[in-house]
Amino acid sequence: MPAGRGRLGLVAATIVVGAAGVASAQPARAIDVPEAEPATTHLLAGIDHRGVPMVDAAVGLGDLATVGLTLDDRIAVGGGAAAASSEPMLAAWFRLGVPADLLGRGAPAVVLDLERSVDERLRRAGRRGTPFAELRLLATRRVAGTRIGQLSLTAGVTLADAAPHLAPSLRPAAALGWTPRRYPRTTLLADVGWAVRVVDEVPAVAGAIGWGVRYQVARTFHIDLAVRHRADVGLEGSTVMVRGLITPP
Amino acid sequence: MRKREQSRRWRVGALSIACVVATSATAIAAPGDGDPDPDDAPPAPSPPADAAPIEAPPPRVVRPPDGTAMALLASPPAPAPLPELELGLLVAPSARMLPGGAITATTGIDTGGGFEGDVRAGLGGVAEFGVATTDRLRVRVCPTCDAGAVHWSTSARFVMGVDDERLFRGQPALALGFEKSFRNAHDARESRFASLYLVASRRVGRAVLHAGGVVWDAELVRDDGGGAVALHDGAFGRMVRPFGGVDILARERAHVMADVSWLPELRLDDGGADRITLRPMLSWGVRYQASPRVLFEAGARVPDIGAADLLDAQIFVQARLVSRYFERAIQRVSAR
Repeated sequence: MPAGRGRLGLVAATIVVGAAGVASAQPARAIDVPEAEPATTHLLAGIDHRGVPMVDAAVGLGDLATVGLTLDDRIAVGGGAAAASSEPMLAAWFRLGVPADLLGRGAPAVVLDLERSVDERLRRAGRRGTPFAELRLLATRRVAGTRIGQLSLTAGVTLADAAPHLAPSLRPAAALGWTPRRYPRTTLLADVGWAVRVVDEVPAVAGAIGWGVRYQVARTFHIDLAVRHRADVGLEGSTVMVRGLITPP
Repeated sequence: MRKREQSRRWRVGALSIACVVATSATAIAAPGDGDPDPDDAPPAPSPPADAAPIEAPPPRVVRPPDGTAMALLASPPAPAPLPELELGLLVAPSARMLPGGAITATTGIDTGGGFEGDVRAGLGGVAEFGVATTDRLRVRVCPTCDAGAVHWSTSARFVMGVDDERLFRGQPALALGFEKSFRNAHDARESRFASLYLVASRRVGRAVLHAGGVVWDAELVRDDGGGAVALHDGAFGRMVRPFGGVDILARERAHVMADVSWLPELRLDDGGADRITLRPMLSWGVRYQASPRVLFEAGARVPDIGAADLLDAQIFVQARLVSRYFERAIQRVSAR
């Protein structure tokens, strides 16, 4: 079976399985920047207009932590900045934090999130891949109002590294989710973050802006339509994505 | 040589997996008599202090078909609840030991392709014995190379100690442990390590604090007869390190843990000769009790804090199976 059909099949299966869901849960991710939800169980799968797949599966542990496995499509690899294209890389992540209001009334949820590529065995097997790691400290505050609907604000800092090594520096990250009162099944998403790119085997970090819409098809299933712009490749290098998000009860 | 090494690794791996499977089988099989395990039952609500004493159920009288009373049978005494299991920290040693007869088997993987296996048994509530295989021991094959893991490093461990408040008022739990590895062949060398530690653990509210000191030793022997280096060749101070951690019961059935410990790093051909150094490792994570017999642990390890190398960090996931079958059996025998 051609790879393209396999990818489409994966997305279709995700949509079908998700549409059968019956209960609701809080999605914990904007486009690329995660929200500070300490424990989340979800399956996010999608594909972009170049046919590059992405998958993110997570299991929450005791309301405090989440461990996940992802096929991350944010890493760009290529022979030149303009030619760099997304290369999905298998990575694991671990998130530990405190839920909202635990540290005091109105206190935001805070998480420490470490993502790291699962690279060593893949490299030995001759697969492509650049080891990378990213540490994020994020806080999310959710606000609900009769006029504005629901607002989710995320802010934090991120520290990224990729082989051979990046100069360590903290960079800001932020995400916004807005569910208007008149459209309770629709959430507008936007985020500002950073993504690793590897050009001629030299890693660097480039800014990335994502925006899109999340539509709640069923109580446990959402569809995301999103766009990601990268600062290093210009507008023509932007990526259009469709994703299905399953959040079991 | 390489074949022999591979064969030995397979044997060690098979042994570890067999231990984990055996403990799982024991955990699943318990209790063997078909009765529901009291551990699985939700804890009974304790009566208020001023509540009237509950009357004991009347003795059971067995009557044969002719209607005459045959015997007076007392109801079997309800088994006493087993003590709460405290499993210590993620990496650093702890003075919390398994109760006598309790067995745990842990298996896990990390993002570096490493495999962990650990089987422990409590001995009389004052000692613990265990066998483990780990990939935490690190080797740097050249001075500028990134450190990698020494796979399938197998060790045995014996710990003895006393619980809180046994010796004097305010006394923390204390444990003296010794861990020693088997010889491990890798990189045209053989390595082994040993550690002796003394640790104290003290409960403070919902948290348990752990602190101690460890004496490390390690040896690296070249296959080509080029000599051996050992950590004890240097000053004693190079072998001694403090360690510690905290374990917080942050949610029902969920513990958050963080610890700092030390591990040997083998540096091959560093300055013309092999060297062994101790490097500090930071770990943090969570332990979630999915059921009385199954726990999941996940977290992150930064093997060399001083290097501040994010790429060195590993994310791990492990499952821990608990069997208290023998503990309960011992309790029943003692009750008789």
